[in-house]
Amino acid sequence: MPDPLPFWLDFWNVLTLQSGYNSSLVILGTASLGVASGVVGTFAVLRRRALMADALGHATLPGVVGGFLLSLLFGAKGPEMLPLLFGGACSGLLGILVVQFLVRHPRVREDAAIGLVLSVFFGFGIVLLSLVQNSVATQTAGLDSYIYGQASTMTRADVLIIAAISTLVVVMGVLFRNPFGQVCFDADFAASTGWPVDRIDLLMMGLVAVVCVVGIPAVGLMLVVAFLIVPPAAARLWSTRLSHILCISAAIGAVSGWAGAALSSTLPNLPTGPVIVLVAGVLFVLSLIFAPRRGLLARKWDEQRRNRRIAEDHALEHLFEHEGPVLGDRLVELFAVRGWSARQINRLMQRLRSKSFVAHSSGGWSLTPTGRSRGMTIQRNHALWTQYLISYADVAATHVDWSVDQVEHVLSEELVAQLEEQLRPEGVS
Amino acid sequence: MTFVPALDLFPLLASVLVLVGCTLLGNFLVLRRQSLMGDTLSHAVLPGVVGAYLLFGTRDPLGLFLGALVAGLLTVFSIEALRRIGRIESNSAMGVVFSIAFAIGVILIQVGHTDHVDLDPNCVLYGQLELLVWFDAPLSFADVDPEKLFRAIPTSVWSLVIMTLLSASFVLVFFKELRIVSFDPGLAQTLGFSSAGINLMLMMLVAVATVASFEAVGSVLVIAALIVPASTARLLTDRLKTQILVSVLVAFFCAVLGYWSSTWIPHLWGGGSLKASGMITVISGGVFVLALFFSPRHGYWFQTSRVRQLADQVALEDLVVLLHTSEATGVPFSRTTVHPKMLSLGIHRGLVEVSSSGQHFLSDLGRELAVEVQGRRSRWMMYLVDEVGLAPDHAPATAERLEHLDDSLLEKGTDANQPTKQPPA
Repeated sequence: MPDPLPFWLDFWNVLTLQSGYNSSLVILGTASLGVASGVVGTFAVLRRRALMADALGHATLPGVVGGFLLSLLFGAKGPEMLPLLFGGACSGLLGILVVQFLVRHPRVREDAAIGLVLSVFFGFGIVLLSLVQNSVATQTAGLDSYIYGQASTMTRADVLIIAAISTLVVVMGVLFRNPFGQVCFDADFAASTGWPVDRIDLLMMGLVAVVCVVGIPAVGLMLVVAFLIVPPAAARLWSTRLSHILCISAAIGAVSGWAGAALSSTLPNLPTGPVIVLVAGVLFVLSLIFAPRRGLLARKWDEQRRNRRIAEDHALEHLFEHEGPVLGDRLVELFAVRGWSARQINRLMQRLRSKSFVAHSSGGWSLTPTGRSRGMTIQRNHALWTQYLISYADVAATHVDWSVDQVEHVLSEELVAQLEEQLRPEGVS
Repeated sequence: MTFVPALDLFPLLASVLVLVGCTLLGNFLVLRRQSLMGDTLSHAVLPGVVGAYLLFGTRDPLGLFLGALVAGLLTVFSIEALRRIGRIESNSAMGVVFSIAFAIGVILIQVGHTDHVDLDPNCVLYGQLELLVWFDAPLSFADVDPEKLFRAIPTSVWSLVIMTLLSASFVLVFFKELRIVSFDPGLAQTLGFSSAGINLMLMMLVAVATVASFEAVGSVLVIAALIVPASTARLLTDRLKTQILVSVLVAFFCAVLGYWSSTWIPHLWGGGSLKASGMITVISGGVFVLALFFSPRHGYWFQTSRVRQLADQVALEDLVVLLHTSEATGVPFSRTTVHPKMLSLGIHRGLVEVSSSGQHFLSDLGRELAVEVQGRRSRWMMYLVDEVGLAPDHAPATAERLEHLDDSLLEKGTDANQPTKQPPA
């Protein structure tokens, strides 16, 4: 492990693009790639094609090696990006087409088809690779970086190509976000409203393929799928609107590309791909915990607030039914059905007092006017819902109590009004 | 090209064990639509294996298994947690978990690389079958001494033996449970089988199989071994027991042929040997494609020819009925209403004869067939009107399509609810 302080200084320098032309270039390249994969990956994830991207990534290997062989035939000295990427794109797309052909057979399901294509194409790539390494071993140096991703071997021209293609992909993604979104959320409905779903799907997978292939020099073909899946999966936790998810996902992709490339160029010996994926993974875990509404903390918080409100409602209901002040030590008896401990009751009453639903005097606890009206509402909701369950939902009168206890707290005002309207003939008012 | 015990015996043994052991489990992954769990686990156990290696400092298989089990458990649980707590769709949950795990694994390898030189990410991906050399082996297979062989077996092959035995006994012992859980999880629930328990055991065994196979063949061949022979067997049979047997045979065949071709093909141009693990995968893929096209049950080739046969039969039956009615009504038969190919086929089958004046008429055989078809048509008509309750003027159109089908069911009391032997699709 490097010494902490110089390491952080170094890292800061790289991060702020102050440590030389080359590393800055690489960082910009991976960041632009991050934006592209964030945008395109969102559609892949929403279309539930996440692992199709994995198959695509693995299926590029024979093409990458084949492209390398061809480029050697045409006089290249070592791995050059363009022929490798072109070969990879060809075999990746072939892999996707094979998956789509296989799933048409009734005995082959999508998961098996993806696994088949992934392993067989990759196996073929390994065979080709061993062939290449046996015959032209000296020139293969650097081919490995296409499997695990080593961005530092990229040249200026490579980065420019990556940036240009990424920009193009982002523009396409943004332009077609409407049809893509339609197909992602409900393909059947999209088809019925006249969208050419097959062609949209093809374009979408085509863009995924392009990002996969362009991402290979930076992240490696083993992990390119992570770059496509992790940022959108994290972004989905933050929002439910497509446009927001797209922006957040692109931002997470960019940050992981930027910080990951910076980290890997600061730390010795670490391939870029895994570091980028790890940064994205950290962002994902953070999102999982802290995202508003869908994050773990937010949901825990929501749950607790709801439970508290339900407890308060129950307490008010009991106090209202009791009519008149209750002495502090009689409360346990009053709330016996709930099975609360004395400490819980104490805290509950303090909360109710701070909301001025109850007041404490020498005579004991009593409801304030607001508390009284709140208690009355709750009891009324309870009665309404009981009546509804018995008369409309055919629930036996003896079974009603339990389910009412659950529901009475979540009745909205409109629902209550509706219930009143419907139950009027039954004599409830 | 002949096999030499020193170079080929253990690699061959290892490939056969990997393929057979993994296939046994893979059958159920494929049936339960969990093929990609194999993919996921084979990537995700990497940090467990590397972590155990760095922690214990040895390649002792027991430590590696332990690491893999921990990683496998963590993977299964975190995917489940992401699906339930994070409400993330299972495809992306698997993708997120395994790619992050794999990234951690590769980084651990790189970090460990500085202290331990013999960990290589490539070995994890492609395996090192070729390194399983038997140094003091005899020169030919005839001279192999069983006792010496037994002592010479390397640990990685031993762990494969254990893995294969574990898989086989799991499938044997829990066959009934596995079958119910695979075909009807709902039924399993009502019968009191723990679907989740069986599933977890299957996943753990897949993790163990992955690790046992890692060193020898690499993670990619593991995925192939789990999925490809089982998928091939699914194309060949509809019965679970037969499917498992067939898949094991296919696995054995692929392992041997794949290994053999990896050493033989390079001799065509005199190069060094090809990667055996890759070659086995390619051969398995080839066998799968063969089954996809030529499987007698579900292959495209035979399905197409079956459809063509049926079409011919229907056309010929229509032809003889047409000729028969023209005989009965006296309206002359016009050959332009029938495809000339069908006419010549009818003549070829001896159903139709041509007079010297070029007139077509039925042979005795053809007349017999026509009567039979018309009889079937009227029986279907009766069935449609009496039993199905079709309006009499709607029945003929349907009966004309059904008349080509066997109507023996109608005579047996038309029990449509006869049990079928096919598993539900």
